[in-house]
Amino acid sequence: MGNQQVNGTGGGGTGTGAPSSSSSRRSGGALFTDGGGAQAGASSAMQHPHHPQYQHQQHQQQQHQQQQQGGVGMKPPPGGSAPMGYMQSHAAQYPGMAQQQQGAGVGGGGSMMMRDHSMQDMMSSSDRTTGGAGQYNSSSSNSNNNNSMMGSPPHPSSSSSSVVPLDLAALSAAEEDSVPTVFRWEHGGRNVYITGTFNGWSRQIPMHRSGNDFTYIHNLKRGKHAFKFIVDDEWRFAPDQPTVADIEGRINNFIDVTDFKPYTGDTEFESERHYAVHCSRAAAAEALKNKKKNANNNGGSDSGGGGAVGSATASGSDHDDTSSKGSRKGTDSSTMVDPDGEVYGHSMPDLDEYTKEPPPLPPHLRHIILNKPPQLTDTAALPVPQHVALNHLYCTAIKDNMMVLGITQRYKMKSCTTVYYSPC
Amino acid sequence: MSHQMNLSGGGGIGGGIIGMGTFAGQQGVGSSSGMMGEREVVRNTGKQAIMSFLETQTCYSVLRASGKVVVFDTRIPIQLAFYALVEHGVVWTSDMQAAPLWDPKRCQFVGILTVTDFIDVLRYYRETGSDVLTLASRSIADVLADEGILSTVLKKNPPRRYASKEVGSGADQHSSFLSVDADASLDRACLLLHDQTIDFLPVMLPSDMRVLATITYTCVLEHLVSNFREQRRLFDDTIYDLGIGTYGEDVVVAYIHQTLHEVLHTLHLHGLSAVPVIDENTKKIMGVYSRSDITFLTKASDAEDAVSNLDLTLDVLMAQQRTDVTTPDALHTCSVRHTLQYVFEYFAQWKFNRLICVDEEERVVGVVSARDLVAYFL
Repeated sequence: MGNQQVNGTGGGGTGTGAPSSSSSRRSGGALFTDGGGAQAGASSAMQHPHHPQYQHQQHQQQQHQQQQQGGVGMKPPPGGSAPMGYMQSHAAQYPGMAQQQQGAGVGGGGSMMMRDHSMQDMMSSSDRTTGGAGQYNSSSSNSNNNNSMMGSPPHPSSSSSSVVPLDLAALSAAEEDSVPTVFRWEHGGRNVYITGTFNGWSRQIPMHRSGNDFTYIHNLKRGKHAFKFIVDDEWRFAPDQPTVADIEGRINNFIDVTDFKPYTGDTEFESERHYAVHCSRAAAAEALKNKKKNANNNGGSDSGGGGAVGSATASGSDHDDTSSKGSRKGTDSSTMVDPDGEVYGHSMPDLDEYTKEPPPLPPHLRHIILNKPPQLTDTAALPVPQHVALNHLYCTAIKDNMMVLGITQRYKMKSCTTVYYSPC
Repeated sequence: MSHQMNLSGGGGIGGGIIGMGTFAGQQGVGSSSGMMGEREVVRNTGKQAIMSFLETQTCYSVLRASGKVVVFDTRIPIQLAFYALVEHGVVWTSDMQAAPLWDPKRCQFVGILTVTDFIDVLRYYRETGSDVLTLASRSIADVLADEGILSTVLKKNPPRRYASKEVGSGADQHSSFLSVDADASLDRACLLLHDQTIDFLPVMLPSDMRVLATITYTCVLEHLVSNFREQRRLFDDTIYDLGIGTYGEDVVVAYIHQTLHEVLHTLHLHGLSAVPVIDENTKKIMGVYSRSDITFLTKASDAEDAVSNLDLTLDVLMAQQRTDVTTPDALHTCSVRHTLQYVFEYFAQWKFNRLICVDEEERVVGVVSARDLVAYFL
């Protein structure tokens, strides 16, 4: 059941699991209790909407995948409701457990960091906003100034370089109201499809492979569009592109092409560019400052930036590190200082740096003793945990406004797992 | 373990390790004291051995190598809390029937919630005729601080079970949560269980606000039995002779055609956790009904149904009980002639919460609970 949901293009899984349905609850209960008719009936009785424990198991698998993606794996938009999987984090590292957990999903994978850093080496001031919607936080939206620096007209909404409205004159011949837009997937996979509001989520359009990346060009209507990728049958959003959570908390990527201005000539472009350069000057200065400040921190940034289990806050600081590191590297090779003292460059990061998968979840963290079937004779007894699992916080998806946290701690030679039920 | 070694070393009656001071005066230690005296000495030796064992062992020693504690925030709805308990498998073992309650505002534990509390709350709704559907939205704090519920069904030690919200001096507020340190002796834990007439005692980490486990008489007994199984000679008196358990007129029984509500009320009145169920005509034992039996709840389709299930009779309910798993609350019988040693062995095998003492015709003559067994040594 869990598997279905995970791989499943999203729809089925828990969506069908009407909270009180006996069968779905049963599956959850069974994992703990090894079944028994009375017990199953028991669980479904009284239409108790949902028991969180149930989700531990059911989403366990999903969780792993999420972790591997380095993001909050979301259910896809059309149909299906995906509660957040069961996430893990290093509680010791992030004391403010619950909130950090959610951050973890956002901070996401190494690739995101890398991505940022590649753009950040000039900008440095990232206006990464983590807009939280429900339990999910939206991913960051990057600095807007990239495009101008890269020679395309600045565009307030095409914040990530991965989704760049085309400004070719040839394409501007298209309908006045449509904005030719390149969608880009840079996170691997063999078969990548895209779908979104631009086609009413009706069809999964295959994307074109180019190197490790996949692209697709579509004439978008002016306005905001949500979209999502299907990578090898798995719904994913690009963590390096702007995201938005829908009502049910699923995360999609989105793009706003309301204010798109086609490229009309050098004069306008130059003025725009000048403005953009002006804006980014302060940011560049700050980048230099950061570089000095973090010069001796760079050692730590490697490990910090790549963790699949990150947190929003942690990634914030890591981010600075990596960006400054990249900045320094840039200085070595191909940066220039213009008459105004502005530093910028055009070095391309290695493709590998932002196309590789984030590191996988350490395998030992997958052994969640709370999810192990209990002993019939003593349900309060759990398997003896591995020491590496101690002090890690586990949580279930929020259901019925109730969150369940679990943490295993040691006292002398014995360990105690506390399962804490709290409202949220 | 080391203790056990000492004992066997001591061996005979005159052996040096017996608490001479205590018993010498009573029976005259010595092999010449005659049959009765010798037996008494052996009996006291066994008792003394266990007493000092309890004194030297800490609560830590009865903790599981890896255990689970369910803690409820007092703000969560009591109904969800109940289901959480069920999911954690309270149906089979008594250990998980109690969950410490955490008050996030006061940042402290304020009490313990058990399955029987929930049943009591349902009884209250039945007695007062209130709309039970409102229960779904009530938080634990709300319900357990409800004066009406407290005074009718939970009045047995409400302050200990749940520290109500009155703002008193900060000092004794914390003490309202009855618990024991992990490093405290088992002896102390048993006395607390006994003196406070409670069934569950949370074990706290001394330095931290953490509950490591809740211990019960059954936990303690298990620890005793595993350490003293081999000491046969010390415990070959019959439980009846030792005065362990309740016999004769004092035994409270329920009849198979009584309704659940009547039985629960009886249990509440007598402060019992379970009652033997007998057939009105034959007087034969038919089973045991335990307060913590939640079959009637889990068979219900909603809270209202659960309350109306209180009017079912015991024979209907007991037919619905699970038979595929042996619970500590299942029917286990013994005879008055069984020795303490036998009971220990039997416990090691079945982990019962109580034994029903029956005669040759399967009529109830007594009840021996885990609590009785532990209390004997206190």
